[in-house]
Amino acid sequence: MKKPFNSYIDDNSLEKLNEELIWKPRRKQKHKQRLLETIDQLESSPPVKSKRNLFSIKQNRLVRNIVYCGISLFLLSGAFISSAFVSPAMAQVAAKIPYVGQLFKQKPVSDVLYQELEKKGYKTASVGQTYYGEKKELVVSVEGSEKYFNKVREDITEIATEILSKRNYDAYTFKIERMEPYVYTEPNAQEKKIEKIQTDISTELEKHHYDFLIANVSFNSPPRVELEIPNTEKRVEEIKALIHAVLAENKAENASIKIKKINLKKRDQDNRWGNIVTDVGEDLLGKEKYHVKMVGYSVHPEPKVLIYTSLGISEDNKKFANELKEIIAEFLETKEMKSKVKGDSYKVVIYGKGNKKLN
Amino acid sequence: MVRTLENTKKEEIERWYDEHSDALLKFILMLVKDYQQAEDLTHETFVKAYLSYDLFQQNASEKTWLFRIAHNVTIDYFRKQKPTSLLKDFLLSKKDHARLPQEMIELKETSLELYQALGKLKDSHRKVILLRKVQGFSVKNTATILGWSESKVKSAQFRAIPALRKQLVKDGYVYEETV
Repeated sequence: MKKPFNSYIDDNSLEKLNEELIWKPRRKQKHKQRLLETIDQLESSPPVKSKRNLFSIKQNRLVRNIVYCGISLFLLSGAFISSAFVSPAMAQVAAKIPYVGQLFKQKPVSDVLYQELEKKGYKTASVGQTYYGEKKELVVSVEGSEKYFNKVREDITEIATEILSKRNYDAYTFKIERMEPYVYTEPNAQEKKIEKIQTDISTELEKHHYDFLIANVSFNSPPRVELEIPNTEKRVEEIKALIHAVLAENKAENASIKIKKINLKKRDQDNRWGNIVTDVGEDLLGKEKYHVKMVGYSVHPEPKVLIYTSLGISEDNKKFANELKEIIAEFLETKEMKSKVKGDSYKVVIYGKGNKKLN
Repeated sequence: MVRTLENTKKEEIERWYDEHSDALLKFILMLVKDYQQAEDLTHETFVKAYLSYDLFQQNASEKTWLFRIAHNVTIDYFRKQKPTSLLKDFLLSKKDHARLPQEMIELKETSLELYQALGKLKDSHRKVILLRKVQGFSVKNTATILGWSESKVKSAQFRAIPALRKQLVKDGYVYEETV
């Protein structure tokens, strides 16, 4: 049978592929059971020792020494930092001391690299820091031809490596990739329709002075409109009626409407703490000595900074975690950070391997 | 009975499994093209989601987050398989894209050609089609899942669809063009 070329791989046929590929329910159930059993095991058993235990006996000894010297060294850290610039011998000593000192507010290393590459005229599309598991990468995407990529690859790698090394960010590996230049594509009929409905909804809501944040229209099955409104906006039914009218006008009556109420104060708090955690994590993630795999946060119910380390559970490591917690608290007391914390009370939770709490 | 945090977490993962495991399995299957491996990697995705549950930020969609984990899990899988070879080479060396064991996974005849053609596309093209067109993720969420910039997603998509069309023609599934 002959099939029309243009319609053969439209969105419908690709969505149909998704529907027609079926994972047998019995298999799915079997694997669900397997997953639940694995979770039960994870909950009941002590954390399994990793093959790549970063925290070797040698490091334990190091940490112990540091914990003993911790308080006095901490008081001296300011002097150490200033003298580190003038005395190579002192700098050598300072470099050997893990985690003692302060965290400083500094630009993300990716921003610094991006600006440096831009200044030097490289066609950089993006620079990003990625974290997954224990892998941390600084990734540069370069725009342009294959030839251009091959020409600049080595130079960019050198610049990036130097920046990482200047900051002592030994936890990152560097990756460079080529990105195809962006080519504008004319939206198809469905995309145009979605755009029109979105514009119509926004225009109508604004015209009637309804308070809303985002209107998002999606035609994936089932078609729907998602609207975010502040929780202070009470006229939900009126808003729904208005959206129904817009959908009818655009012959999209079958779309469902989902309205999500947003607590703006909480959202602002969420944004602030997202930024705070980025600042806190910059140095912690960059340096192997902190053993930090990931940083996170939650503002529900109250702000919490979450630090995930690769450390096992031991008395020494618990002391390490408490020191780390104090350093973070100190950092959040600095003038610049205080303006972000805005007096919120918060907790710092430090996890070791297997997400067991260390403090 | 005391309701513990671990219980809540387990229940949440169970709910996510019910809602998203089908989509994740299909996505992984079309990347690794090995049904048993796809089941194992889907399992691994949910175990990792459980272990990293506290990192999940409620303001992001759980589906996007799960797909990001699944994508990373498949990358790790390929790295372990052939650490020195390029992913592309590995994919091209895989044979028998079509056969699926009926007792595990079923694919209707009408979509078989598309499934086979997708399997022959280069990795970035296949990923972007699977996420944007098959799973219906936005450009932004696709970028999050793949760890790409949004412009990279757009440009990959721009090239991927003609590449898929070309593959279908090459395979002889499409015989004529409508004008």
